[in-house]
Amino acid sequence: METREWTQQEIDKFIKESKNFRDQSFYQALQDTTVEQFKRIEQLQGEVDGRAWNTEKW
Amino acid sequence: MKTLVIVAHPKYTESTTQQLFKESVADDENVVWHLITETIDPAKEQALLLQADRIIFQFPLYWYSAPAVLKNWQDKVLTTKFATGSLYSLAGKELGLVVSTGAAQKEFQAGASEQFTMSEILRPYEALANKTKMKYLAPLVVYQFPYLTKIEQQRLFMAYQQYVTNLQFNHFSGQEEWINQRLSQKIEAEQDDKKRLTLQQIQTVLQDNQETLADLTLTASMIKRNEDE
Repeated sequence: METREWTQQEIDKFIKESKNFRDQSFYQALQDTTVEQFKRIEQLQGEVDGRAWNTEKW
Repeated sequence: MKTLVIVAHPKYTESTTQQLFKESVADDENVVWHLITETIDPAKEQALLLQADRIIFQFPLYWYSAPAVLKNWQDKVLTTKFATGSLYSLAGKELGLVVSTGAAQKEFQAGASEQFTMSEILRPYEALANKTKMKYLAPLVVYQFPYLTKIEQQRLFMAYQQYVTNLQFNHFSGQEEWINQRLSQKIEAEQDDKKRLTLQQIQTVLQDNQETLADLTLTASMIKRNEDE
């Protein structure tokens, strides 16, 4: 399984198993943060690849 | 970082928003929760201010301003001698605002029913920060709290915690690091071995991602710089 999917599934379990609002809020924030990280990594990798593919510099 | 939260709410005990916020920072020893009333001892209030690095005015918006209890506090505590004059006792500290309103966010813009943006409405506090040489923080505004879903309330609960305790709450890298530190505390407190191990693995992913993002950001900025030359 990919790291991204594994991370989200595991954090989801912590969210569901949380016994109180405080813990659940924390794990939700952890989920939001890792989701945002993976999104930004994908975007930045795309940007780096796109900019490196610059025919003017060939 | 020490934070002083000055709570100005005439119907404090009835406010679910305030209860959520109080619960959010309840066990944090670096946060002083200070509910103000009409009775004020300026010297005591000034001493509290001096101990804080971040000062937060927290109030519901009443006619585009704070309730009278906060204005009264400002007029009595922020004396010319203390706040400006030759002392500038608050210089270098941060001033944050946590404001709640019953109107929707989309109404605070030109052409909408409230006509003005929240930044325009809160300008007097920005001016106060400027005059007293404090750093004005982007306010945390809560629109229509009763309509928030459970997950939105949870996000607000965490956003508030960060607003009060995270030095770099307004940068993603600061949010990542704050979450990472809180996760370390969770790992330490976790009794179940299996869960602790999973949390450690999640933390490794979080930290690897932090590093990858920092590297990619640097690479992207270097490529951009080369393109500009």
